[in-house]
Amino acid sequence: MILLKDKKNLVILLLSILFIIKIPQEGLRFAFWVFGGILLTSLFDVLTTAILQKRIIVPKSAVISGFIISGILDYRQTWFALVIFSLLPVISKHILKFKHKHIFNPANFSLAIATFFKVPLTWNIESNIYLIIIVGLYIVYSLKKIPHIIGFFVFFIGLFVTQKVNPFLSVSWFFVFIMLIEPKTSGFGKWRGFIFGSIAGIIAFLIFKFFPPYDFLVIGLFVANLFNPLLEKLKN
Amino acid sequence: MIKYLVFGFLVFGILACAKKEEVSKTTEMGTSEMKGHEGTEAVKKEGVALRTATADEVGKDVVCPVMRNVKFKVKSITPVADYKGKSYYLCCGACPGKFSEDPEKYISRIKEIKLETFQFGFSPDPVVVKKGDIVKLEITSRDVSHGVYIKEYGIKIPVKKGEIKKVEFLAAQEGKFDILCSVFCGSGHSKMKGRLVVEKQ
Repeated sequence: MILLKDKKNLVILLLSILFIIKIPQEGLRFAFWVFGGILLTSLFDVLTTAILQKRIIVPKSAVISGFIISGILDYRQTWFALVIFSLLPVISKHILKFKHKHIFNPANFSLAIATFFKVPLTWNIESNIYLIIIVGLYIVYSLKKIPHIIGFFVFFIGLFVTQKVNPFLSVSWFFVFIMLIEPKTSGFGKWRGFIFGSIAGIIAFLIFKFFPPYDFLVIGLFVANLFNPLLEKLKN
Repeated sequence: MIKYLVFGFLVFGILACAKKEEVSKTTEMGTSEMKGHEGTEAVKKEGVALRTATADEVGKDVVCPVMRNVKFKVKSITPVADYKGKSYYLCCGACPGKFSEDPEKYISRIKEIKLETFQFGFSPDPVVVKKGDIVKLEITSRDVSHGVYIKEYGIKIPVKKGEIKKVEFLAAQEGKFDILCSVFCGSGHSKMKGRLVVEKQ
C-alpha cells in the first residue's frame, strides 16, 4: 500500500492490469509489442538522462509512456515503427522544453506524430473501462485534476451533442483519466485546469468534425499542451 | 503513254481509297473489335461499350478484371468497359479485346460487398470471399467516422458518416484476417474488430 501512495506506481499497476486483460484477446505479438515499447522507452530515457544530466534514474515515467504508446499504437506495425515511436517521447521530454519544463505529454507527443502520419491507433490498452474509471477518479482526485476533466467534458459533451453524437460512446476513458491529466504538462489550478481541459475538448471536437482521419483526442491534447506555457504565464 | 499514266493514277487512287476506308472502319469499330493478346480476332459481345476514363474516374485505385493481379490508378487513357450498367477498368490496350470476348468470365470472379461500419463493429461480419476473387468494398458509416483497416491487404480507408468509399483488391492470400477500425471512434474502438475470410477456391 505504501508503494501505491506514489501515483506513478498506481498508474503502472493499472496499466499492467489493463495490459494483462488484453493479452488473451490479442495474443503474443501484442504482449511482446508492449514489453518492447516499455523496454525501449525506458532504455532511451535512462541513457538520455545519463548523457545529458549525468545521473541515473528509475524511469517510472518512461515505463508509463512505454505502456501508453505501445498499448495504443497498432501492434501489427513493423518493429522499426515501435523503435521510432518509443524514441519520440524521450526526445519530447528532454529536448522540446520551455523554461526547463517539457511542453508535451511525452507519450501523447509520440502518438500525435503517429496520427499525423496516419499510423493506426487501436487503443488496445483500453481493455476495461470500469477499472479505468474507478482508479482514474481516485488518481484525478489525488492529483487535483478535476477542473481539467470538467473543462474537457463541458465542451466535449456540449459540442458532440450538437452533432447528435453520443459523447459518452465517443470518448476514451483511458484518455480522460490517464493521459489528459499528466501532471507536468497539464498545469495546475482550478481555472488553468478548466481552460486546459476546455482547449483539449474543443480541439478534439474540431478534429472529429473536420479532420476525421486523425485521432481527435490525441491532437486535442497535443494542442492543449501547446497552450500550457501560455496558461503558466497567466498564473504569473 | 498518257493513257497508261491516267490508268496508273486511277488504280493508285482506288487502292488508296480502299486502304483509307479500311482505316476508318477500324476507327469506327473501336478497341472492342481489336485483336486480342494472341492475335485472334475478338468477337464483340453485345452490351460491352468501350471508352476511356472520364475525369471523375481518374485517380481511382482499381484491379484489372482481366489481368487480375494488376492493381493500378485510373488515368485519362485507361480503357473502360461498360457492361450491364457497371464500369470495369482495364490495365492495358490488350485487355479490352479479351474482356469483350467473354465479359461474364471476368466479372463472375468479382465480389461486390457493401460493408457498413458502426460503433463498434462491421456489417456483414465476417466478410467471406474465395481466393482469387476481386473484392470490391463499398464502405459506409452508420454513425461517426470510422476506418477500415486490413493490414495484410494494405487497406486503410477512413469513412465519414454519409460518405461512400470504394476500395478493391485481389483476395490472393488465403486465411482469416482482422478488419480493424483505423480511426478512433469511441470507447469501444479497441474492440471494434471484424473478419475477412478468404476461403479456398
